[in-house]
Amino acid sequence: MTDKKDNGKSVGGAVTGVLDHIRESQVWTSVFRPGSPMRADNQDTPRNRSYVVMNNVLYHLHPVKVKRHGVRLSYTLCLGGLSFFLFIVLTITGIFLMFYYSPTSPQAYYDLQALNTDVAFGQLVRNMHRWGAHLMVLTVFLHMARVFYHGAYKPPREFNWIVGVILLLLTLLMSFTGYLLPWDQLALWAVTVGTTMGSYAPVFGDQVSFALIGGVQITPDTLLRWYVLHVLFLPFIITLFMAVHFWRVRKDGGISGPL
Amino acid sequence: MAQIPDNILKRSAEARAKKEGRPVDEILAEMKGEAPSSDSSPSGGGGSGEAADGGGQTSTASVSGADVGGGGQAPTAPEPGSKTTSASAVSGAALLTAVAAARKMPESLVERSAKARSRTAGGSVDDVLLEWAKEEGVDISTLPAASDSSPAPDSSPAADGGGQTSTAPEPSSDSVAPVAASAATATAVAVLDDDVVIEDDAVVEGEPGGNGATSDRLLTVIRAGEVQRIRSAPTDRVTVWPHLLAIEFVALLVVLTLLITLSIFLDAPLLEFANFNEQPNPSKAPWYFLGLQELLAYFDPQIAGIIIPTFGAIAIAIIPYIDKNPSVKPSHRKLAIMIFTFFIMAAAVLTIFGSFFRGPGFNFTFPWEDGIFFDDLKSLLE
Repeated sequence: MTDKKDNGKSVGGAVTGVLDHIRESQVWTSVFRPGSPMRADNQDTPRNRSYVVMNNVLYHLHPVKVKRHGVRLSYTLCLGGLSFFLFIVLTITGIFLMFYYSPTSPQAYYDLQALNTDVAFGQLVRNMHRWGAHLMVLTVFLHMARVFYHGAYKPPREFNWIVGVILLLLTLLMSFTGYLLPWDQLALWAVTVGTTMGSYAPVFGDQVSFALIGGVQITPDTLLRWYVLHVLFLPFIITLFMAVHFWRVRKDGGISGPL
Repeated sequence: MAQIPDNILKRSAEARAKKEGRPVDEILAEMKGEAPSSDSSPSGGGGSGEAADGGGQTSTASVSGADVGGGGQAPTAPEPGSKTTSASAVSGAALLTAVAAARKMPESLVERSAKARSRTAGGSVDDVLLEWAKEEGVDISTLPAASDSSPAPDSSPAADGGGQTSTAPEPSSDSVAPVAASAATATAVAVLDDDVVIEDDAVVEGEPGGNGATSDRLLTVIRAGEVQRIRSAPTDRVTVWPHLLAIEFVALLVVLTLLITLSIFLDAPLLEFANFNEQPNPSKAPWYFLGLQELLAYFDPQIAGIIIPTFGAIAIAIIPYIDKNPSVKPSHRKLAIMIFTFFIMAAAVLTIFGSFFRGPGFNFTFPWEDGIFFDDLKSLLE
């Protein structure tokens, strides 16, 4: 790095010098663990490439090495990873929306109107949350189809397939509970139609329906109930299952083999 | 070496070429050249020593070993003394230093491997060292001459040819293989390119000059790497950083860009305030439930709303326990793919039907005649 320095003679040299100084500082070095390409003294060696994965909590989801065919984009299309990424996008945009939303009638509807008109980037973030949710249903479903067509559910991955099916159902539930929250005509009647189907369940159909919507029909109480399900309960459950899902991908031998 | 696929061989050749700054072709030829050479490889003076026993020239492998052992000077094995003299020409210590320097290894390791080699294959430590020195291209003439370091008695197994019983170090057939294996481990640590000769004692009866005595014959030559090779076939693997993470990052950016662009140009729907007394016509569930709602038009609610989705979810979940076919090749699992594709297509068709072909009263409609009744995309349709 020192050979690039210009001893402060030019502006560019001064900037490079400062940047080098920062990169060599103790603070910078303490943030990026050994092997990180962010470090000043990093060299591109197999050992350091391994450290990038082993020493970083974000990359810790991955093994140090994967089979070469596994990194081909056409093999997985990144669908599982994109589902997870969309979950993160939805979490971030969802937290933003929570700042401006109260799950009561009629305030919920007014909050959405305000979000669309008064809040900076409110409409954009709400759009991202809504379309992102639809997209996540789609990517999770396509991920399942991809896994099926690759036969990637075969031993020893049977159980992870079941976890995946549970995650698909949870994704649908997440989306469905969020559907009610705008508290407009679309939300109210779509959820009415959806929950009416549940009430046809034999023997305990009425009880399920009662517990789900907090009464014999959808009321403002349902709004609070579904809000809690949507922002707390289901994310908590889905995170647990995701942890198991990712862990089992690693434990069951990584990504499945080529066709 | 034999089971390594070509592509992996090529990749490691490329890696070595990159590291040593030599052309790939040269390295590849070198690596490939190693494999066939294993049967006539320079397995040390010891091999030639054993070769000279009993019947002598009966075993071709032994003869070829003697060729190498004699460094081309002694084409026929029983030429006593030729090796011994050259071995004693330089001092063992100087030889050790030279070999260690040439191989860039600590002297202690070289000495240990040489001892293991001499114990396994016969021959003195100095013979082995001399052999290695030749392999490494060390100019022996520059080394200081030996004063009295010629280990006379055991340094010349090659000399006892001509029908005499071999003085193999470990004549017991039980102990030979383990010794060879442990020697292989010892040498493998330090000398990756070395071979180990495994021999078996066989009673050669009626062989000329054999006297019914125990004799050694060459069973196999084991490449050092093969002894500790892992059983599973080598797979072509790449580091996650940067190969996988770069792809994932790009995929992430593409999707994020798509999502933001979509969100800029397409607003999420917000209809009128929720009114319990005014049901819109038609009222549709979220799009991912519209396949089920479509089924409601054909079946009893108990069947369409409960039985089909419940059994559908269970059926999907237990696929791995029904499908016992171990193959993942599409051509081997046509039935499974057919069934799955049928249900996926059915679900897709039902969902599209429910979304775009159902109008007021959930009656059938053509979207190009009466318009689309799909409020999720209301802002797009208006």
